[in-house]
Amino acid sequence: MTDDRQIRDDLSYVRGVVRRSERVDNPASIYFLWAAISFFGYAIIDFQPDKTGVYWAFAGPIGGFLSAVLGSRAARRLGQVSDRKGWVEALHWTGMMFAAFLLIPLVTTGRLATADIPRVILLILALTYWSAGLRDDRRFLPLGAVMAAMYLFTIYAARVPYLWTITAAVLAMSLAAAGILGAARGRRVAG
Amino acid sequence: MKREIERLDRVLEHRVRLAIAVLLTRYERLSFSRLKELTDETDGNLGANLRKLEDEGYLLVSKEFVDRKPVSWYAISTSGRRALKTHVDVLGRMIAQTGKPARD
Repeated sequence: MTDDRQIRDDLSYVRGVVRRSERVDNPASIYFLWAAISFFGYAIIDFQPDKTGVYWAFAGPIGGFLSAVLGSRAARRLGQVSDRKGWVEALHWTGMMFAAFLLIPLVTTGRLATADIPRVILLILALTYWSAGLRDDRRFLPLGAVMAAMYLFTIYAARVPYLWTITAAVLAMSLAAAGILGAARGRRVAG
Repeated sequence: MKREIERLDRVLEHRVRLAIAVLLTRYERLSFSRLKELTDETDGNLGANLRKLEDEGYLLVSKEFVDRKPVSWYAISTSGRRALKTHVDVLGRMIAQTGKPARD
């Protein structure tokens, strides 16, 4: 006989199962990929500033595509495929790229100095990573905080030599650390 | 209340089958091994529950190779989705009625 307590117990079991299914970390390979892309993408500002735009015009979309492939492969290997989640991720990160693209009118109308674009992009990145951390993988939260800190660093320590190389190294190390921590946690859970 | 109980879907009354149906409305496809991990059931129990859902026409099953290993994928069918919605609506009404004076 189905009674009220039984129903509540069953629903509590279902809730637990659904919660377990939501505890999925992004694959470490995506963090390593963006550690590499970000390192070259920010260090290039110190050495070839005129090539930065071209670099990101190619590296951004290629990185996005590779991330989608890596994420999709990881989901298939895990045995949990969600097209909806894929679309949400795609919209979230392409939204960030679109926001960066919308800086162009600010630069062409003289309202934003070209040299400040990487700073504003760092701020956009910080917000995007933070919101991704709230919505999805908690590892994005400290990354968002690191990016916000580096945004301030590039403003208040603007005269430091190799400013962007230092920023690139910090971003790359943070991303790589997030990937390593996630991989270690995945191994602990698995075994 | 009695009338509501009669409207519950007998197949989805089992909590493992209910959990599987709910999961499959959130994800397009889940593999057998992932379902086993999430429900914490044995191969035999999970297989029996999946078969019951499949026999009822609530699940769609496909098989493919992932990393050279055979994988069984499960997805919810339209009738499964409809049955789950009705079942959950009835459960919701039953819970809402709790504490109210019984009319049946």
